[in-house]
Amino acid sequence: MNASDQCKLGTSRVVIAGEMTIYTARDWRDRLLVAMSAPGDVELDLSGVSDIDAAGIQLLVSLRMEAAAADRALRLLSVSARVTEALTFCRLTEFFSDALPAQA
Amino acid sequence: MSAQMDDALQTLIIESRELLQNMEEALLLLEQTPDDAEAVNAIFRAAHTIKGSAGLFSLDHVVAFTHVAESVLDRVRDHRLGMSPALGSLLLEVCDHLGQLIDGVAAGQAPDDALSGRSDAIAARLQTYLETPSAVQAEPDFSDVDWPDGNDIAPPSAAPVHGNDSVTSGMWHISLRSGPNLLRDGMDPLSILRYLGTFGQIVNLELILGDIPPLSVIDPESCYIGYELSFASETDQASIDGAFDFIREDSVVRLIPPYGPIADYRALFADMPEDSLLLGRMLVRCGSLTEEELAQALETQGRMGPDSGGGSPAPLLGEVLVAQQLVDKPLVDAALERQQQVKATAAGEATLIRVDAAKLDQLINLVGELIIAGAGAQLVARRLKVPDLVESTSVLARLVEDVRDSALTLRMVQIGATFNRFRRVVRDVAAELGKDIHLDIQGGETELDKTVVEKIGDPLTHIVRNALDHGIEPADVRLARGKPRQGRLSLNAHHESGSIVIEVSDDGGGLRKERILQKAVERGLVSEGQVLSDKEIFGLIFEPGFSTATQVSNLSGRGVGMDVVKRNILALRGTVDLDSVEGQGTTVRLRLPLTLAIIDGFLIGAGNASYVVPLEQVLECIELPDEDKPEQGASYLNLRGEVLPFVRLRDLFDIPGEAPRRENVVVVQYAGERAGLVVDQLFGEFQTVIKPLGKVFSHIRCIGGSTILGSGEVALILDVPGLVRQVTERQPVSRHLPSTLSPV
Repeated sequence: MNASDQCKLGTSRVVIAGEMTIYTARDWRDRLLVAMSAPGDVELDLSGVSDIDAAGIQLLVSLRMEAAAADRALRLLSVSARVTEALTFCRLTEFFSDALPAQA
Repeated sequence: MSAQMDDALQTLIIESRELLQNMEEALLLLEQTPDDAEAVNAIFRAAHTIKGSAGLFSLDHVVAFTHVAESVLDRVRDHRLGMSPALGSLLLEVCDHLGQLIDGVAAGQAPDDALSGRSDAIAARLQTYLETPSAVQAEPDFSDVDWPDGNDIAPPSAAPVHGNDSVTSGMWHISLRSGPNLLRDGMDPLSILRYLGTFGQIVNLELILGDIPPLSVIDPESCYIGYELSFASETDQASIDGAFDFIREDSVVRLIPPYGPIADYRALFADMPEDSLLLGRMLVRCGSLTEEELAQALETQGRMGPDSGGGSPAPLLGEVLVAQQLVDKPLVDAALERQQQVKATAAGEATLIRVDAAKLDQLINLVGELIIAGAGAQLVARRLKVPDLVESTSVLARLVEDVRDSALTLRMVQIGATFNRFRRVVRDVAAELGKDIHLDIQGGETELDKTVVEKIGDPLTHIVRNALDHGIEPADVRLARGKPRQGRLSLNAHHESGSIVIEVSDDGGGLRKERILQKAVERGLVSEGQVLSDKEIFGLIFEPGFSTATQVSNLSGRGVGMDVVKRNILALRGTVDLDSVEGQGTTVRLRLPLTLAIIDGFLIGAGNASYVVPLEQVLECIELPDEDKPEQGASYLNLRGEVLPFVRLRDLFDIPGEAPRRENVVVVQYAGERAGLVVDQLFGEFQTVIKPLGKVFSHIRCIGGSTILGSGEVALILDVPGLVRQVTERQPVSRHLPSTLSPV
């Protein structure tokens, strides 16, 4: 696992790389919780995600819903091909449409 | 064609013939009980499987022909078409014609013009059953796409229509609620769905995200997402189900077939924890339901009570259960035949093994040799008088006996299949003759040796046809004679002292003795004025060239028949006799040995020679009383007040030398007649491997075969039926004891 979290003013950024699966879901959840504990928008860098399964998807969805509930913006800065494929397969691109980068 | 393909083709031919036989039986059953859904399914399955297998071998003519039949059967199955006698007959023709097509395949011939012409003719008649209007579906039917290539015979709209209550979507609908531990158990629902994509297309997928908790409380290793998807696939329910096999245990998987009933969706709404309306919207988005269908489903759902289940408890539960039932049945119906087919084949393969008959024969032969060798070893052991050796050889002998018994049962088959074939014969012949005849079958589970079964088919057919043609009278004659309109023919089998008895009885006119006698005199078989017993008169009809039918029909009456029957049965070491009461009916009785290979024998000795009598036919052994020792030939003795005719083996086989002072009588029985065999010595039970006598000896009476003793000597097997006949025929048997005889 390889991640670096940055906290700009009012924005938390989480870089997720490697697997985003059941094996790592707990760690990513903790990382995301940290990001959510700070105020402001949340940015995710998913460009390094090599694999994602249902656990990863539901983590993203949970984050997305929690952010929306708290009226905070969620942005997926860049998304690996694998994640794009998974979101497309799950018909979730619309759900994340405001968070996904424009070109995706 | 490669050897492997050749083998596979042989399997196809064998299987197809079996399936056709099943199909025929089911069709005949349907004539009796037209509503038998299982029979309809069986017929459909047979046609479907034949079509499928024929497709594998590119037997296009078989596929095309079967396809039309299958389409008609599909309609029958869906109750869009009722069974009628006309359709039944047509389907029987289909059955026969398929048999011919398969025969053609077996012979390696391409269908000739006559055959294809007949295919077309029958197909055309089948088509008339398909032209009745049916609900036309706009969407392709994915449940029946195992017929991919555009065949010129237009398949009917094969979408199963479950009345008005079906949805218009041609896709499977799958609902998946994964158990919470699925991911922890190493299963990813997404990869299962991806796997589905390998044999179909996920047209639409809706994720139910409502259950995903906020990040702060989420257990990231639990599953929260529910899945609703519409799935287009050509496979059957079993393989779709199979994809979920690993997760079924703690997940909820619901499968609704294409054009599934709205009731299924209704039940889905009732069972799923989500709000029905929300779920319904998803299903509409999936394309599984239209708005209208959703409204329909929700309306009835609403009537079933609040979906939380809080309101009126007792009736609600009941209704939900009913709904559950509704769910299961159509679901099962939709894909049942395919599933069952797969399972039936799998189960059949698991419990039955096809074995080359030659291998079985070889096994029986080896067992035979084993018995002979075992007997030899036992003999040596006895001579050496080593107690341990004697004991171990006797254990061995018992085991060999068990091995023999189980080896022989391998060859045993039930006679039921042979009997059932006569349903068709009776049906067709009765139709041809314009008679109404009911066939009654009893004792179909009686077992006998496969070789015997194979060889009695023809003689039985002769007898049955005779009974149908000459035995049972036309309906008007029957009514005039005060009999029920419907004639009755019964086939009955049972075991009796080591043989199987097969009876063919009819309730027809019976044999007219004076006509038979008159005819026999005409043909010079009996001289005028000769007095014959009933049995002897009836026996005349088994003489060559004897027929009493005044009219020769194309079924029987040409006088070739009963003599052939008798010859065939005798060749099997069996006998045939006949009982008849004029005006009431006739019974033909066949007695056949259970097996042709090994018997339990009783070893006896006369002079230096040994003989074997089949143990089943031995009643008892007694010592020959001194006062009953006449000088020559057969005589009779008094056995507890009854006359027992006997014969001396010494006289019968012309054995030189003096008889010992003490002689024994072996009382044998066959077909109700008893006779005594006077022998020198009784040796006791002996397992006997029958070695047939060569053709040179075929004219010898009273000897059925030979066997080899443990010592290597040859013993002759006595033909008890022949002996009994010879002994009892010599003198008129009277059951009353002459006063000159004193009791034993």
